Amino acid sequence: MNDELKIGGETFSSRLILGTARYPNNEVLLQALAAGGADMVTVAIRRVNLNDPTGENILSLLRKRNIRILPNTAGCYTVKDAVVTAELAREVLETDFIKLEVIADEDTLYPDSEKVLEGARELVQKGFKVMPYCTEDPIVCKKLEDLGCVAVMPLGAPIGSGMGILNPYNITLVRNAVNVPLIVDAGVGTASDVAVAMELGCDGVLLNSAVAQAKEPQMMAEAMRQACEAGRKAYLAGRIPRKFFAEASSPKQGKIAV
Amino acid sequence: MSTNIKVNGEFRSLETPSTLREFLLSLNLPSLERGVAVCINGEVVRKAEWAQTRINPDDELEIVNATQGG
Repeated sequence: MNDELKIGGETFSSRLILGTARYPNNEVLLQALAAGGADMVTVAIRRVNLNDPTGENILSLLRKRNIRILPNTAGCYTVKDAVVTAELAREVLETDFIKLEVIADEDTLYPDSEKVLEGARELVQKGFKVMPYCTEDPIVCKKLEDLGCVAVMPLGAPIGSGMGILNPYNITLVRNAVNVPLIVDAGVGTASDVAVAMELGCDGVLLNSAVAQAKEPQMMAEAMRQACEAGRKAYLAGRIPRKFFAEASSPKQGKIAV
Repeated sequence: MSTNIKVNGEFRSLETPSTLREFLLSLNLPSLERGVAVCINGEVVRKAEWAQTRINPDDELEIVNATQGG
């Protein structure tokens, strides 16, 4: 079955996008990326350490493995910071793809919808393929699609919380509201969360901490890949409707009478 | 006269006038041609413009690369 994911004119064989942060070391990171089968991973843009510029660059590690790289604007609280970070990312990575994050608050790391919309508008105008991290609000997601974003990436739960898909009803509303790829970004804690997102009709899942901070990151990455595939298949296969009362599966006729 | 600038949040002094490219070369970064980007006073300076861009007094530079992120 041909079930490729297309985002911004590019084709992806995997529906799992993995973050590269918070792993115990680069070796574990590479093992987990291989086990997860992601062909797109996220990176952040940060100041070069001018006192020790010789540290191993993650870019050379990833480029050896031919993995596509999605830079983010993580940590930006203003539209200006996010736009400049995106422009720097384009220079560093030679890609138009950008995961747009404009956050509002350190405790929740919630997206600041007003600024996400403003930043998305500006970056789309500058020719970026914008994948915004946003709230699971169908109205905001629809507006982001209308602005020309190549995907929408609502949160399942706050970043790094591992609480899963807290509002499956809203994810369904977003699914019905937008035609661009819908990727749940943030909140995944374990494999079943990925399966739930995919069963709701999401096109993909972006996760990081759930793998990087697991006791066995490589094994968890494999579990995430399998959950992603299982959830996708279940969605395509079409689940049975929920009912309030039982419905026997064995035949009612031909029962013995003793 | 030296030129005082700010680089990645720290003050520095340039003894001789310099282009951006000359300054970056002096930092001995391992991968200057690929994987590094610079903005001056909030404006990104593309690689092709590094050699023509002069560093002026009080310029604020940000020199960045990609790192682990989510």
